Amino acid sequence: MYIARAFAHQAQFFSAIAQVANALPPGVVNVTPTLGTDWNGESAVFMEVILADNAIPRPELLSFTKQVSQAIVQQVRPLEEWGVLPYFNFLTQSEQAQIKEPSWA
Amino acid sequence: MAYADDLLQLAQGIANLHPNGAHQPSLRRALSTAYYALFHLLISESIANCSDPQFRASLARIFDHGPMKQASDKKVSELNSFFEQRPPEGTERTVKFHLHNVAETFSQAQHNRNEADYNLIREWQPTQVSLYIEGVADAFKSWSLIREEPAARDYLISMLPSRERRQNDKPRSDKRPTIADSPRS
Repeated sequence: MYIARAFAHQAQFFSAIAQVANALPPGVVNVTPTLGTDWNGESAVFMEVILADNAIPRPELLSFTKQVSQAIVQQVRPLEEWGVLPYFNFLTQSEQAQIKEPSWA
Repeated sequence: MAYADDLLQLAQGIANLHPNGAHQPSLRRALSTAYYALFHLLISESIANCSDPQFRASLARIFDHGPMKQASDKKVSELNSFFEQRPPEGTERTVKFHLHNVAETFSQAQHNRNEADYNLIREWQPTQVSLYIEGVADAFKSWSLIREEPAARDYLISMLPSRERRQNDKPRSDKRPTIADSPRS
């Protein structure tokens, strides 16, 4: 049975993500990874990234989110080092507050 | 205007139907439509060189979501490895940058489409959805810049389902790390 390394060593995996998250720009409030499987049954990590409201001008937001996801992917290497496909979910603080249920339930 | 462009425009329109609230049906349909915009863009590009309309329509139906996602994940992984080598500026890097944008966006968009269509527990927010749709629009731009490049053509070919590819292709050609591998220090 195939078990991705990220599942077997969750603490180390989450620690690696936290280390990168701490060095992200101040517009990033929090990064929460959750392990699971995607819709194709592949092992995956779902990263919920919370952004400070209005920290980034709206026209620059897409570019900023790409920088954040690339920084995490390049430094953590979720697929290559840990065997999980990364998925990103960016939310502003105020939008996160409006969500009633957990995003990855 | 091509069908894929129409779909992208429609996705943007649906997302903006309820500007003052997180209207879930609209946001879900917008995400799904944005994915299908990119899906149909890549298929239409793949069959563009086929001159017979009937044959073209049949060829288009060969493409399937799963193999296209698998090919995209594999391409993203290959390109991540390429960029880790810190390649010099130039045409190759530019082309691969845009190809990475297309493949990664396709992969994320397909996941979001499945979440939007089938995970009814998940709640979506307007900024979140508009960011995803902007990402798809950005992938359209990237594609328009590289569509004539051999690397782009190879990516399209890799999306064609084949028994051999389904058996052999994983997102990365190397063995993926498993429970038996010790963590990186």
